[in-house]
Amino acid sequence: MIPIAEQSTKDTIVARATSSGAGAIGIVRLSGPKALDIAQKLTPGHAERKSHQFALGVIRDLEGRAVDEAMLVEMHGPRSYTGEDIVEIHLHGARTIVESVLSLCQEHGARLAGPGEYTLRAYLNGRLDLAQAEAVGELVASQNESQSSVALAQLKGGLSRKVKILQRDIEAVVADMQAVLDFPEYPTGEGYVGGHLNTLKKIEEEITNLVSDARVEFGKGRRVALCGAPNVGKSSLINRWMGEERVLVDGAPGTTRDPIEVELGRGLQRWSVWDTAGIRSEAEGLEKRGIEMARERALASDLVVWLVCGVEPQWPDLDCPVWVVGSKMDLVSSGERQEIEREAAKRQLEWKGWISNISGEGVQELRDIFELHFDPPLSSEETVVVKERHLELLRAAGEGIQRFYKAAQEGMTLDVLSYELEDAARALGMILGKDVDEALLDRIFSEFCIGK
Amino acid sequence: MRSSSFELIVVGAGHAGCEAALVASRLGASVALVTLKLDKIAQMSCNPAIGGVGKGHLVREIDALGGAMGKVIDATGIQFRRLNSSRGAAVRSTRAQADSKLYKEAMARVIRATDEITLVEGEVVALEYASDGIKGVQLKDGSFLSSPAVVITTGTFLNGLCHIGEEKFDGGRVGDGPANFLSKSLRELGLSLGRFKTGTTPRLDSNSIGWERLEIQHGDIERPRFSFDSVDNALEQIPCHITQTNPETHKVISDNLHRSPLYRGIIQGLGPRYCPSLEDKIVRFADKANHTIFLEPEGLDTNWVYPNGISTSLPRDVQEDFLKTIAGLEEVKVLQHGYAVEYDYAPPTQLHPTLMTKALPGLFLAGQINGTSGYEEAAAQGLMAAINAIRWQRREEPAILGRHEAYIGVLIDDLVTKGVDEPYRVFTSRAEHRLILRESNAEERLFDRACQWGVLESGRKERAQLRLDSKNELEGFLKREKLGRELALRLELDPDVHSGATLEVILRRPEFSVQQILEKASLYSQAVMNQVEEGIKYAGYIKREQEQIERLQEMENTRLPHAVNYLNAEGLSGEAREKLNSIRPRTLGQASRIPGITPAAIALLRIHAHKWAQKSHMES
Repeated sequence: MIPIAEQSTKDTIVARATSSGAGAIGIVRLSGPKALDIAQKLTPGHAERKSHQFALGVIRDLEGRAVDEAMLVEMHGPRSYTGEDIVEIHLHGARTIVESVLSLCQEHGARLAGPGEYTLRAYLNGRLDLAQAEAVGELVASQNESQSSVALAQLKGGLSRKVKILQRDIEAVVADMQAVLDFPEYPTGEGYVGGHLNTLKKIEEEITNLVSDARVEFGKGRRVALCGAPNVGKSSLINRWMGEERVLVDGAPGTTRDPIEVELGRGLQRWSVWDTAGIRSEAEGLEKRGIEMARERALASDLVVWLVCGVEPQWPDLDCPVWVVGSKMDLVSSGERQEIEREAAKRQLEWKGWISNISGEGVQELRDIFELHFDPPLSSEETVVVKERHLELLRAAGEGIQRFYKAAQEGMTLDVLSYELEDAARALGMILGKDVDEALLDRIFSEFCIGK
Repeated sequence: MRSSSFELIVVGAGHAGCEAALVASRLGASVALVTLKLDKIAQMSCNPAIGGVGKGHLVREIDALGGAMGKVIDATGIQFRRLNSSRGAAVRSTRAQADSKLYKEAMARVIRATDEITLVEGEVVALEYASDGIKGVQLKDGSFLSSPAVVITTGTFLNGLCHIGEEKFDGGRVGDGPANFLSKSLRELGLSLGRFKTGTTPRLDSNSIGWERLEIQHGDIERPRFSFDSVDNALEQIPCHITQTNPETHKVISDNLHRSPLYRGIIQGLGPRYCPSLEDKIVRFADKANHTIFLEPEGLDTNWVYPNGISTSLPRDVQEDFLKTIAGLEEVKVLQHGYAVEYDYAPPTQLHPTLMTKALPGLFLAGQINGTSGYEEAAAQGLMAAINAIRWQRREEPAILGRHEAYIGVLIDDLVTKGVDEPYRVFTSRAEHRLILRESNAEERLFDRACQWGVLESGRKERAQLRLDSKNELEGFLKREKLGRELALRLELDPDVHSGATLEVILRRPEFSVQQILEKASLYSQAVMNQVEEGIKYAGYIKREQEQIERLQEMENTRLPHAVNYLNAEGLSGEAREKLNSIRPRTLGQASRIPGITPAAIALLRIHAHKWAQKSHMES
């Protein structure tokens, strides 16, 4: 984006608000002091439009030829997203129409918006605080319901509210300490600092919850490497999950030579499984190379799952933590199954149950276990930290409180104890935009796309 | 009168006026110091004490900039204490009871001994102002003093109105008339004035107090001092005494609240919340059964006693009735009744950070007229206003201290940026970089500034340099020197574990002091040792503070032009525009401290600032 320092806030900006491919409708959005004027020029002769109401209009070019019939909606500032006058023009989605309207707007005095410029204006005009503005970027980039609902909660001010309360609570403790420092006649006995510990414990807990529920890797997608001896049923399991014959399966061991990546994202999550070559020691040539790759992939994954065949168990020999799942459960008795589970326990492996690719038993359950692992249910319903920046600052605030405890234990004086808490409160303030410098603002708004 | 033309006129010879006149003289300027009464120079109108938390810091800083207050109180103090000694180096503060008569005599002697200062007794009735600036001041007797710069330090005297119960009389304090003409003159010149109130306590006759029944509070045996230059005075050191109000006292007051001018709405001015009158305390803290009273002697040679903590404007008979319910005061004789004083102040957002008024170049305001309370706050402003008044005439860079440099910087930035809604006093909590603004390092912090501005008397610079050298030498020694076996054993440390560590590392432990570690302690003064020890023990925090300051420098260094019309600034809310237009912040950092200016408005100001800078670059 254009660096903050070089922004012009006087210009009227325009951009297409819908994605650039063809669609049923395409929306062009104007914001700025000339937005209403330009809308009028686009629809000559049209009566004045009311704010926040759709009105039909014919868009005409400079020669007066009709370009499109469109729905226009004006949102008069400050009751608009940016706080300025906004006009949205809902056109038929053809690329040529949208593009000619964009250039008409420029002819009438608008300029193309930079990435994030609408949101920057919303921030500058006090419509959003910094955490909320950041949520917009998150919302636009979100890939699934749960990401977007989290971003939406943040946009509505969920995180800001929580942070403000935490900041206020710490500041209340600080204020009490300040009073004692500035009025030496106030007694501070043995229990003085202790009197604040309960409040601080609660604040700390709240911060810890926000930190541990944080989902800053939300959109990243996770990788599971499925490993095990040849012919243990790795590819069949993936086919079961996919519901179609995606991966070539053959009864002969060693069918999968190259690791195959399969996207298994469903509604709420994105994750993928690497189907890897069966690992056996006597392999040669191409198969051997495949096994080497399987090992490499295992190390590069977020999670390694090792399938153990119930009939001929072969145990993992990888240098990383693995989950172990028994396969072909339909072929082994419950006694044999117990035997294998005991062996797994003896080897201190994390046992995750049995599956059968034939009957389908355990297949769905295993997938549920993955999903729960990657996206555990949230303990706090609405507020989830999704930005690395917020997480860092929350951690800094938590560390401030930790340092306070430590200093208190070491018998440090009250001026220092108060300093640690002031530091914690300051970190929280930065989430909301207090004392942030230019470089940071540039970084935040540069992550946005054009049109937002 | 030797001459009626001066480089600077200072109106008012209180604590602000004295420092203002003295520093101007050190800068080589000829000064007229105008006072209503020559025998009231540096009068302690309120309590007979200097210093306290935050205020002690101010006095040390005034001293580091060559001011007189520290030396005068060191010479005339009759009880010295260090407050907050267990609460940390940053908040450790010096406080002294003054012999108030000796104090004002000593200050007057310093003034009279200064050739550049012409003392003028009289009332300033008008400020003469022409289109090209200040001409001078008109006195009541018809004479005229001319100067291009005037510092007004009139304290509570502008339209001063005193209240004792139903009685009202004009005056800035009991026994002295008000300055009403000047108030009118300032208003006519376009300054807006507000109304504040402050209270005083009754003064008691020490011969009528039952001292033997009261708790004694002695000064510290090892006397702390204010001035970096001073030595102990030879005056007898005497204690204060402590007594308390009780439910009976409170009942007398509650029963008579309807006779209080404060509660009857007769007093319009707003008083300080942190220093409430006794009637206020009893209403606001109704569940408290007792309030502490410190009985402070006003001097060695006087029977006047100042009971700190019970300022009041109740009627005389009520004052006497409630006093008699208090332990030790059963037979008390009142020498002067407590009273409240209402006065005009000029909301300080009308000032530049140099304390010059924005409306009238050449006119500077300092002290209580700016809505502050306290001798120390006044003195600090007097000093800075006069330095700036001289520098302004000489076309030198303004003298402005940052919030990270001094409490004086915090004080003035607060005044001109945030304004005041009650009489302002300094608190350590107002300083965001408190851990580096310690009493002990005031001289080191301000040495370069003092030299740069040329405000030190002859010889002082050299003495200060010696102290700094000594401090650096001790620091270097502790950093270099390793712990020997013998010393380790003496400190009860295992020599096998700790010898080899530098003395600095050992000193970081909270339990050791420099004296314990240093065998040749006599080489260094106590002050130097304290300063070094604090620096070492706080090293980790000081480093963090400095990083924080560095981070904020970007904002402090982004200058905002003075001549901009914020009312036309795009995008800013109406409230933000008006505030920016009236405060006219010098930097983005100052703008961010204006109440009600949001982080978003600051982001927007950045954009404007860059454009203004570009524009002025192109124009130049």
